[in-house]
Amino acid sequence: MKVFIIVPVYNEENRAVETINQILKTDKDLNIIVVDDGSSDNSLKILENSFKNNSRIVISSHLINLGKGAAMKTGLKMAWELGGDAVVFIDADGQHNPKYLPKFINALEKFPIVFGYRELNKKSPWIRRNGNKFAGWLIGSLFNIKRKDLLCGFLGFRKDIYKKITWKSNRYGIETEMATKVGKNKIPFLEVKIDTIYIDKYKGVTIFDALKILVKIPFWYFNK
Amino acid sequence: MNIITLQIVLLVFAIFMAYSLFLHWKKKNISNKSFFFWMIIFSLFIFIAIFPRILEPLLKELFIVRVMDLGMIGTFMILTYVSIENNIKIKKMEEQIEKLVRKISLEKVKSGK
Repeated sequence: MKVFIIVPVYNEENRAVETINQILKTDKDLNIIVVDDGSSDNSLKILENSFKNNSRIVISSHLINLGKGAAMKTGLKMAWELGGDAVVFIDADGQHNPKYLPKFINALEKFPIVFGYRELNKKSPWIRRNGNKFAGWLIGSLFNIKRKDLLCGFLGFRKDIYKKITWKSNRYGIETEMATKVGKNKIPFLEVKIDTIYIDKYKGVTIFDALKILVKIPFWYFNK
Repeated sequence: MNIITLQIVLLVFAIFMAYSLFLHWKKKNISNKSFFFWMIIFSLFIFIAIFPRILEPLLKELFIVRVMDLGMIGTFMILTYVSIENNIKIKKMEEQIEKLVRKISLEKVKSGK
């Protein structure tokens, strides 16, 4: 099975290169697709200069910022065009440890979709911990899916289920929307425990993003 | 503020909006169809602002006490319609932009630029 690692990047000039280097170290055969989502800093330039001679890495870029969901889709299209059978998404900011990638890839042999989960302990910000728990309970009750960490963006899936789980969200809410579709379509999945790393408290899902996700839930519920 | 003052405020607002529409029409920012549609709306607005009593039979029929209340209900309905229309158009435009940006991105990689 040919697996592509997709790394959406937005304004990560300080961390993206290090994250990609770590991914490269995990497996000699891994192929990486980096999608710069219209960064306003030097992320794209730095990435191109660092990896232009590396045949394992494909770098694409959006002319304007469209959001993480759109960058993920661009990465996907590229992966399918390059003959990929499955993809694993990993954030460029270093909050996902690439050492778990082999676990995801192995699990994709048996399960069509694999989600990462962080054990949200007392060290995690209160609002995130409880917000995540509440979202998990709400989505679980409505869509018949039991997830340990609904908002984790470290996940992978096989090409054969892509059409069933494809998302419309472009900003935050992609992981939640995907989970609702997995629940609705009764797709078997596995959860892989990953490290809990919080790099920047102003990045990731904010309380406002969480409210926007809440508003979208009825649409996901009634959408076939 | 008595009724005459309110009527003047409404008239000034409607004339200002009609003039703004006229300028956009002249600059070809809006189509003839849109221009005439909105001109009819604002002409009606002006007419009702000058002769509010013309709506009294309708008020009785709808059990509404004041013309102002009817105006508020009408305004909410129009605003809701416009918001929904705008929302649909913006979503469609966002989808088109996304497709275009993605297409350019993928073609760039294929051509090796």
